[in-house]
Amino acid sequence: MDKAKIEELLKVDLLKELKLEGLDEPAKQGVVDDAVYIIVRGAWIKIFEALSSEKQAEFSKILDGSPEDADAILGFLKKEVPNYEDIIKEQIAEYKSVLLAK
Amino acid sequence: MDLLNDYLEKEPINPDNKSAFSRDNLLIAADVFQELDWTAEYKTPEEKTKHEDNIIKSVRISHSEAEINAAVRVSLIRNRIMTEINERVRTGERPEDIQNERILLEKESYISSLKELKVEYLRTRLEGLKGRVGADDFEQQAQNAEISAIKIANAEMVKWQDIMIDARRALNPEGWDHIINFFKHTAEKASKNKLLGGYFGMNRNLRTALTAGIIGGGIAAFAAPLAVAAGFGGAGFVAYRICRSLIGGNFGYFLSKKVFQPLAKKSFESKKNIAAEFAEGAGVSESKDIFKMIASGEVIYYEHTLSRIAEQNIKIAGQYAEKMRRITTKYKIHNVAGTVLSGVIGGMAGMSIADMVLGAKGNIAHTVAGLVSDKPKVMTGHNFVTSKADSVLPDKVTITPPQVESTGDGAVLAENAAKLRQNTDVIVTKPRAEILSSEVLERAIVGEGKGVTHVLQRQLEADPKGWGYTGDATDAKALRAWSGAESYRIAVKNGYINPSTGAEVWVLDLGPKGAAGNPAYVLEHGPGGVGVVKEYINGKPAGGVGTIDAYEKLHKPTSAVVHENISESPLPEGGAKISGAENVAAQSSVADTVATADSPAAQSAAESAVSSTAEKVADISVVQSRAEAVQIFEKAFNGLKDISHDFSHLSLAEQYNALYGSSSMKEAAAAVDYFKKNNLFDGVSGGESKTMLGFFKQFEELTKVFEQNEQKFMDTIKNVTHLDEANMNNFLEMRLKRVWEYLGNGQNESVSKLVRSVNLTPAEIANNLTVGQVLKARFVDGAFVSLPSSVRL
Repeated sequence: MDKAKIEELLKVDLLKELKLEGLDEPAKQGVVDDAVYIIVRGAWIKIFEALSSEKQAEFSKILDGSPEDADAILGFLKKEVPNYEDIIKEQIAEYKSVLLAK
Repeated sequence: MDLLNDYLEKEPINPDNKSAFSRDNLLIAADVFQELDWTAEYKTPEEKTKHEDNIIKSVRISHSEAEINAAVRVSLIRNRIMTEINERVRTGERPEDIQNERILLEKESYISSLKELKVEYLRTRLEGLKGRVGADDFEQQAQNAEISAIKIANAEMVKWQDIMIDARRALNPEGWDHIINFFKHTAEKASKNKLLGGYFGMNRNLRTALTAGIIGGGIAAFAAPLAVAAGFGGAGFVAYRICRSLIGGNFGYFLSKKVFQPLAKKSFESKKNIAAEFAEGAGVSESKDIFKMIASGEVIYYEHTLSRIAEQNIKIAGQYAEKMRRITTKYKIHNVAGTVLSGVIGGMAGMSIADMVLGAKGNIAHTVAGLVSDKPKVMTGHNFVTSKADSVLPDKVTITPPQVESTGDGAVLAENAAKLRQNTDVIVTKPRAEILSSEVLERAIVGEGKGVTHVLQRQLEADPKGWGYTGDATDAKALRAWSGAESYRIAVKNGYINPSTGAEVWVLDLGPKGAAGNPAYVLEHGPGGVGVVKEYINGKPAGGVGTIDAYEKLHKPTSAVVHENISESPLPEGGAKISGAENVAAQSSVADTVATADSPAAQSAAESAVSSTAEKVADISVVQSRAEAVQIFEKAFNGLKDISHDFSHLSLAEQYNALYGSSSMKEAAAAVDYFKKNNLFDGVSGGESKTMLGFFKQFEELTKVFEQNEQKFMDTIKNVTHLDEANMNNFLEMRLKRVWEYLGNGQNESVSKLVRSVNLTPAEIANNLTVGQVLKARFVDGAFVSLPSSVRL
């Protein structure tokens, strides 16, 4: 999926496009919850596969040694998977593309 | 390039009419449509066939050809990939680039087919609604159709992710080994867990099948017949549970615990997001176990097994609807969305994924993320309100003069209290508001089924040293015994009990059923450290000590209850001034605390009873002969033997029931009792006796597992609630309805947090379960459920 398409999809309000704005709030939240779950899971697969074996080990050390160090973890992601935000965006866009298919 | 051609050539799936679909294809479609119940049990093959026939008939009627085609296609692609991974691993090949490319191409086809599935499914549903355009429920029906289509698509995407997860490990085992090693550390800490014991006790084939469940969705159902084949008659649900955990837990855990939660930590620390706090505290136990399993290298692939999986997966993936629900709901309790997402993509103008799902402007996203407010909110939709400790403080302090009764027990009680009050002027001149807090009130309010001494006991246990306890405060049994006796003593001194007659003050249930609106009996330090009781209603001073107030009544037992630990001289007996009808809601009383199961003596007896496994099962006696005893016993023994492999998989409640609650175990108790009474264990020469002793040993081992799990549960709750043990026990015993009402007063933030963390459902409240029952299921079984409607984090 090209970047322009991704950006376009990111701007789409999924609930609105699916005509689910009339749902009650809990139901809306359920839709979003499920979406976020699937997107996060998919993003993590992508993020991790982007790392070499060595980097996975390095990342593991950070996670193991400094699990509460948000800066270290985020720093690693930014350094070693600089496009991690793009990965997440792509996952969001892909998810939306499936649900918005017509 | 259409990789589907391979499949299409092998098995045409685009017939001109639905009757041409093969039976397998229709079952595959039913699975995708989440219309199969693979958990159904059949007594005969014919029954199973009949059930499937009905499903097939339903699919033909309810779904279009295009829908069925799309459903079969996504299943075939999924299984194609799964089979290919299996093949690569089996042959030792690791052509990463080729396979990656293959996977990418397959995914392209998969996504394409998934879109088609979603579109066709929705179109069929909407076509069915054409005739209802303009009807009142048309919009609702249309929305339901969309939601159903989304759910199907969601489930398929998760299934695909499951395959990808395992593919990555197969392609890059070294890299994954690092991750596995990482999790070893965590897993070792969870050496006693509910999954591993039973897991390693399983037949190798079953273990292989279970671990291979990572590969594809729907393996849970597959594991059940395999478990039966392997001789584990009761292992099906265990297999399901493991598979559910495997599939739902691996990446999710890694993400939530080690990445997202830390990233979000700053966020929720700064925002005091208590939902996030609970996500971190309550959502990891199960995953630890899973990763130990993975870390131990038990993910082994056998060609035969995987081939069977590949063949059958498309037929047996029916659990996904339920699984998806569980996965997503577990996710909710982890509340990863709430804790992490804004942190992860914080560089993107602080937007969360949920924001982007809603086009970066939805308020729902903030609700999901739980970051909308700097102030912790609670479930306003279910009587949860923001905690306002100040609001429960009295606006004006007034002291009600004592109303001394002239005769009878009321007079005795009042006199007793008056004597005490004469020595405690400091108390009546001191503004009572100064010594109150919501926490104090919470402990002091009399709840359903409780009496004055109960709340006194609760307060004593909250500050044992402050009330003169010199024993080990961490010894729960000793502490409870002391507080029981001390609370009784204080109740007598304050005029709530006449120890010589057993007459006592009962508390009526005011307002709605439950603690709400009920009086609080606040224990304060008087001169010399003596315990003085002050009464409050809704946080404001009320009534008078020694006075039988409107919210109380005097109860005279038919037989006197005299507490042996009380040294006061017996007071003269008199008639009760207040008689009146029984208040059903107030059946509990101080007498409950003194003389029934709540009493120290009764507790001690109960604790003694559970200390011996033999004693545990020998509390009934109905067996009349040795032959009968042996027959009953062997039946129970075999039953226990059957579940022993899987025992650690069971939830706490299930374990308890298996050990103590099942009918066969109760019968076994009678059998054991017969043996004991007739001294048939002496010498232990007979095979039957030896078998029975062997049973004891096994029973004891399982009891240990149960106790360890129970302790783990209690530790978890303790960590989450920060309640002291006494209060925690009280809380766990509370009925949810009561908690609900209780929290309506917003009086206990820690309890409120806990209840929110387990997301009570309306059904649970309606069923009036105890909090403990719900929490046991949640924390030990890991079966978290979704937030009830109207809940806002």
